[in-house]
Amino acid sequence: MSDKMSFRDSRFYPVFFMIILSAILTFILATSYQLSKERVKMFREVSMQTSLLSLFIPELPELNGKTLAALEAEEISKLYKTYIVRKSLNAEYNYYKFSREGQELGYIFPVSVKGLWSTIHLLVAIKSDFSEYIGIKVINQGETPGLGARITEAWFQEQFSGKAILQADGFVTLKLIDENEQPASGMIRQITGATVSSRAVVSGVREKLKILYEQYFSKKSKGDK
Amino acid sequence: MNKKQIFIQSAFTENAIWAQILGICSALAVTNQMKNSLVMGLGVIFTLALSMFTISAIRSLIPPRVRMMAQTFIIAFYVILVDLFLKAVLPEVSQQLGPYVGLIITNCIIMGRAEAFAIKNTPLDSMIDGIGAGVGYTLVLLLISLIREIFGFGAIFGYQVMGTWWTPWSIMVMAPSAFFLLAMLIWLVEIRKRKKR
Repeated sequence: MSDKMSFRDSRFYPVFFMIILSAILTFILATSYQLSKERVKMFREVSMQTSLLSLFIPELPELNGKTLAALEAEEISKLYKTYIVRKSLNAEYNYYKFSREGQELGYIFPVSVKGLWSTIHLLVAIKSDFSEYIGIKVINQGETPGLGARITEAWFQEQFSGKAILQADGFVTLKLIDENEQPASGMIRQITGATVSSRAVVSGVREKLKILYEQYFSKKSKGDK
Repeated sequence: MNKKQIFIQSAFTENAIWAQILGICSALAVTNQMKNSLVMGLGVIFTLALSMFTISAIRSLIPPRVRMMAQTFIIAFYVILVDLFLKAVLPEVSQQLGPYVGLIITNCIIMGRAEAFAIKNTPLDSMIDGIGAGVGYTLVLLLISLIREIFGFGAIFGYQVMGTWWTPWSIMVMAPSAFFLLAMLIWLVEIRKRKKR
C-alpha cells in the first residue's frame, strides 16, 4: 500500500479535503466580491440618488420633461450634489435635505415598516415644516407579488403627495378606503387583497414621522402648537 | 445511455417535480408570474449545470463521509457567484429577483441530482443531466405560472390578454392555488403513466 492510499483512508482526509475545498471556493468568492464591490457600490449609490431625486421631479428644471431613467450615472450624481444634502440626526440615522437656490424645499426620511412578510423600506419626502407629504417611494420590499408588492405601483405612492401630516390638532390619520372607491381628501385607496401591506405603509410612515418630529424637529419650529 | 437519453430521462421521464416531487417549495413560491418563473428556472439550470459538472469532476476526491457537505458547499458557491454577477452586471434584474436567487441553494433538485447522478457519472454526462433536470423544472414552473397568471392577472408574461371585463381570481395569485394546480398536474401524469402500463 502506498503512503497516499493510506492517507486517503485515514480519518484526517475528510477534514483535509474540506479545508482545501473551503480555501479554494472562498478564495474565488472573495476575489470576485472584491472585483465587483466598486461597481455594486456605484450602482447602489446611483439607484439611491435616483430614488431621492425622483421625489422632487417638479423641482428639477434640468430635466426638461425627461425622466431620471434617461440620464447617465454622472448626471444623476451631479443633480444629487446640487440639490440634496445628507444630514445625520444621530449616530445611526441619516436623512436628506432638498434645497434649491438656498431655499429649503423639504426633507426626505428613510423609513422602514413591517409588512406582511417583509420589512418595507421607503423614502418619505415631506415639507420641512411637517405640514404635508411631497411623496413616498418604496425602495425595497418582499411582499406578495401581485398583491402586497403593488405598493410599488405609481398610483398607490402618488396618493400621498399633498396629503396633510401635522395640523393644529396633531398628526393626521389618513383613512383607508377600497381600491375602487372615489377618494376624498385625507383618504388613501388601499390595495385589494393587500390590506396588511397598505396599512403598514400608511400607519408605519405616520408613526415614524411622529417620532422624528417629537424627538428632533418640534424644538426647531418656533414654539407653535 | 447516450447524451440525448440522459437529457430526456432527467427532464421528462424522471422529471424532478412530477416524478420525484422535488423542488415543490420554490414551485409554489415563484409561479404567480411567468417572468419570475422563467428567471428562477434559468438560475436553477445554470447552477445545476455548473455544480453537477464540478461535483462530478472531483467525485473521486470527495470523501464519502463528508460528501453531502462538499456538495452543498459547491452548490452554494455557484449560487453566490450568480448573485454577485447579477448585482454587478444586471443590477435591475438583481433588484427585481430580490431573495429568489439565494433561495436556489435550498432547491432540493440540485442536491437530488448531485446524489443520484453526478456523484457516479462523468462530468459531461452530469452536466447534461443537470441541464435536463433544470429544463424539466422550468417547464413545469412555466406551465403552472401560465395558468396562474392568466387567471390571477389576466396576463401572460406581464402583457394583458384579458379585457377589462375580466375579474382576476385572487386565489390564483396566492400560494394555495399552486398546491391545487401542482396536484392536478401530478395526477394527470400519473393517469397517463398507468394507462401506458
